[in-house]
Amino acid sequence: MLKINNLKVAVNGKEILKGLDLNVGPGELHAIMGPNGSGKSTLGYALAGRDGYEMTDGSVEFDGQDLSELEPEERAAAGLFLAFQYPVEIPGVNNAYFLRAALNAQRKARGEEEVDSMTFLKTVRESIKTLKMDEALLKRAVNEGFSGGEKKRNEIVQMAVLQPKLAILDETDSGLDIDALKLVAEGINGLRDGKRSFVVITHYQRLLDYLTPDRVHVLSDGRIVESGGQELSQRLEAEGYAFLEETAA
Amino acid sequence: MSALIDSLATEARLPADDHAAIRRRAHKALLQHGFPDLKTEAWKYTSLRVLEKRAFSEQQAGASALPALPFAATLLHFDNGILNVDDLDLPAGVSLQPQTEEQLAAVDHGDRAGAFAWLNLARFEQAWHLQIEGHLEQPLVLAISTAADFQNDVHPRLLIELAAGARAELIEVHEDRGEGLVNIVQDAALGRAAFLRHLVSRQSAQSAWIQRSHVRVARDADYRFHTLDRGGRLTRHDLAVRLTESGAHAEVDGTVLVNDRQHVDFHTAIDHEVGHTNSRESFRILADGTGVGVFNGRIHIHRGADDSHSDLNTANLLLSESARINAKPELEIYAEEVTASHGATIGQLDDAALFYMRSRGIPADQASALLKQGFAAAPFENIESESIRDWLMGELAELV
Amino acid sequence: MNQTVEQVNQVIQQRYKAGFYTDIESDRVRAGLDEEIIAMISAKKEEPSWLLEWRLKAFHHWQTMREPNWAHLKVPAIDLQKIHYYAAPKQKNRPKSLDEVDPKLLETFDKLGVPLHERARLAGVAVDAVFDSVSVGTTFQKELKEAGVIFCSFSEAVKEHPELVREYLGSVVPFTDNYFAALNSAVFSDGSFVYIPANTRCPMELSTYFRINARDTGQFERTLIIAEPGSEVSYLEGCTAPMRDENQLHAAVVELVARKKAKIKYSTVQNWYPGDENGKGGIYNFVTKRGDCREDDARISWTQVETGSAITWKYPSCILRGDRSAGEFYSVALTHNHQQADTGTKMIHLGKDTTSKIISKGISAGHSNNSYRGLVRIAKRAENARNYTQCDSLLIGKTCGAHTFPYIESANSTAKVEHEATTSRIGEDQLFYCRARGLDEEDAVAMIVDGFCKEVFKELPMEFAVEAKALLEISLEGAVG
Repeated sequence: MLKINNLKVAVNGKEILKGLDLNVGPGELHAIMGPNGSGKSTLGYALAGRDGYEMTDGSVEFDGQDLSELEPEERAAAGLFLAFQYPVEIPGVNNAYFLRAALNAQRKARGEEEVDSMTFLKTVRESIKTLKMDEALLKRAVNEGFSGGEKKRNEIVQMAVLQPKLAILDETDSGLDIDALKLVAEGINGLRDGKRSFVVITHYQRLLDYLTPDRVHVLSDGRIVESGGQELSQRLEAEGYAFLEETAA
Repeated sequence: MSALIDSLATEARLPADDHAAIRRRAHKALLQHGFPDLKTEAWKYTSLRVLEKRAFSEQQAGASALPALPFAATLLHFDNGILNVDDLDLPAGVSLQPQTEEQLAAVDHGDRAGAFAWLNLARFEQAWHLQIEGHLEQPLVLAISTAADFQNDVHPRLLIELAAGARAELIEVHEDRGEGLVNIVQDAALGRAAFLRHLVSRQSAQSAWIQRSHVRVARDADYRFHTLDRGGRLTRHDLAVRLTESGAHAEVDGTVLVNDRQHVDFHTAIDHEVGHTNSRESFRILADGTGVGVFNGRIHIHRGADDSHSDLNTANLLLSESARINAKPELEIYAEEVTASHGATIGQLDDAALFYMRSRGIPADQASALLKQGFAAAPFENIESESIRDWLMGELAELV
Repeated sequence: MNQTVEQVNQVIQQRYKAGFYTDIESDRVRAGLDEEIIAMISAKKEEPSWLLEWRLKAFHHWQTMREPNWAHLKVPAIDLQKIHYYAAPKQKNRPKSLDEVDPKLLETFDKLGVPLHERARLAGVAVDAVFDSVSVGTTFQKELKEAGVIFCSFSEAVKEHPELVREYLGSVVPFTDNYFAALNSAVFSDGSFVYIPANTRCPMELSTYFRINARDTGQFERTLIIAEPGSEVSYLEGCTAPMRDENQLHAAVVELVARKKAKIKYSTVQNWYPGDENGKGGIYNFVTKRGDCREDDARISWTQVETGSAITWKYPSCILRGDRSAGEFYSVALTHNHQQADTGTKMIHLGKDTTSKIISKGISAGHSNNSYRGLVRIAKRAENARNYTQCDSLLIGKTCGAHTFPYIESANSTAKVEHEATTSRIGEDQLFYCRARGLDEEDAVAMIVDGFCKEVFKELPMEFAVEAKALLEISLEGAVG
């Protein structure tokens, strides 16, 4: 599904990712952990194609396509979804309208028919129910005036509606209380169907308690320095990221 | 400046009617002050050169089209600026009469900055007095339109009075196809606890639209102004709202879109003359092409107007390399126990929001159109009437 | 430091402690403004002919101009023919060093807290003391010379460094700029001149102290600071005048030139006599201050604390010509009694990636009127320019006025301009809270005002910050209750 080879990414001329390798197969859920400043969010933005995140070396292949050639909206249409660490507020643009515009733009790009508003609303309402959100949020502007937790849950609602092939979740757990965390995990697990893949970027292990990742990777100074199973995340939780320095030394 | 005097304000052009004395007085004031130029502080960003180069026809233009509106309304059609009174069907509570000599004599349009208002008083074709009582069920629409061969100058004059407790929606729809001058003067007075929603939707072609709206708001009355201005060759609107008794409230919301060879200048002033008065204002300009947008918003809290509160916000987007925006939010405060604030920004579309939308699959063009639309729509969000709101949103969606 | 504290204590003891008059014989030209007077001033200063010609050109241009009337000020008619345009303390011979200066003058500056003689000088601050129309002397000249820095009176610079003066004079503020700048260009008397050579960091703070003493005179000083590529300087300006019932005019011009990567920091504590509580007397302060970030990466920062003058009309500005150049303006303006201030800044963004920041704090009390007037202009070619402006006003009492007039002009779509303004009074609850903790009302107000101004004070060099704070407290006396 996702093959990253020796990826180097520079932001404002400064190299942040320094040769990152990652392979995520269909249906797999990978966790990427790492201390602050290790390049976790840079990876998310680079994969989604944000301006200013320049791939200086290496390759990223997504579902057989070279990602670096694609605009952000083309990546989305190809099935890539990034749940933002800080979902953006868009004053004046209605949440439901936005989501429907996104869904139809993606379908159009793939040569599919647009969904009618009834079908669309039904899908959205289901996801909103799953995540125990207030339906009134649909009528508000995108993320505007949402609490931190509502913003994060809104990202999962979008993911559920857009049905991507690969979802990258950038610190979706940060700022959530335990109940919200469980709801988000449920939302993610509900979308695991053996084909859809996930990359979960997180600082803490607690979300992983509910997700059972296939692989856990540790990102440090722009590279994956260690990979393993779930036991690795537990070790990180117990020992902190300090042991990385020993590994690096 | 004498070019404008020659083309618009020669003695020969003063109509000879019952109001000759008033007209002569206005004409004298106009000659004495002269038309404003770039050195006139209130006109420093708006040049009248376009007008100076114009010759105004005295031939009557062909009939102008009525704007199509998707909601039920009482329509007053100002065909090429002149109200057609023939089959006027006014609802109960609404009356329309010519202004009296006393009403016309009572005005003072001030110095040079009021030159066009003096011109209007010297040259008006009709001066109406619109009185409203009770609650109007349908909006009143003043449709001021011009025909393609309109090269005239017209000077509509209107006095609007809302009785105590009256409630109305007044919608001005300005549709221009010509290349003349429409010079509007309107005064409105809201009686105690009256409510007026005043909306100006303007689409100007080559004509210059110069409008001066002065509004007085009495105790516990509520005045809401909205404008959607879709740009024009030269548009200048002065809106002055006076909160004259305690409990008076005003809200001013506007969106202006300008594109190639367009220039729109909005000057608003809200005067808190007594205490316990509140106002809020939000104004937005989106300038594209070689368009120029000007916003000057003044809040004046007078001595003794304690416990007044005011907030003014202007956010502006420059959408092209050649567009320009000048903004001047002003606060003038002489009272205690007040809170007043203003904020102003000029910038471009939010990169982060654009990327967010694109990452959800929305193509760049569509994303920026949506963002512009969302930005421009904000001033209409608190219009209760869904049909009017939908109409404005629809217009906006077409524009961006 | 002890010295500073004592200075502050002295200041506190008297509301306008600088209001004394020095009885010294003065050499004055007759009152009036004409070509002959200008020639006399030029002759007294033994100026080269090009400078006299420049003055006369300015004078002729001034004759075509009118007094500006756009400010939010009520300016009584000023009879410019009644002013003596040159007044200097009589001295038999030109003093060659500070030791030869009339002790009365030295005593005056001592009293003002600006001792000039060697044993009492403020450490680390070189001072040029200007008394009416002439510079009395400049301290630390030798030390500065070693670093290659020129710091002297303007008159001396005309004699010693005519090529520099000729190149830069009027290059930032041409005499055509405005009415008062033209007047100053015609009749300017003295002021300070600073030249920092390339890649030099000026080893100490430079400071000029302006004192108006003689009756019926005006002060028209001219300051020019040139910072060569890679240099850095911090300059302070202070000013006072005796208490008099008549108004006196002060119309200065300050020009700053910052070349590539140069940094100039210019701080002012303006304490001209503000007039009495009935609005009688006081200085009319009409000043043009402008800095030119002439080349890339230059920085100019203005900090001003304005407590004095009956009328203030002053807009220290930055022309951000070089790419990535930066301008800053930090201001506290306090008006009390019948004072009027219309002050602010202009940030003219011409170069790419230029940035500017404006922080303005206005405090009005009594019957005063205090206006912020600022212009932020983004030229079409100023790609990615950024401005942030915050101006806050505080009202104390029911009879004062606080006004904000920002002009924002943008012609570049990649630029970003943000402006915020608030006006409020000192909160009843804030006052009550302080008083419930045992502070009296005046102390509580002083504390709240100090907090309100903190962002600006922290930009001032330490000695000045203490003085500014004390000044504010004194100026506010009697503002509450």
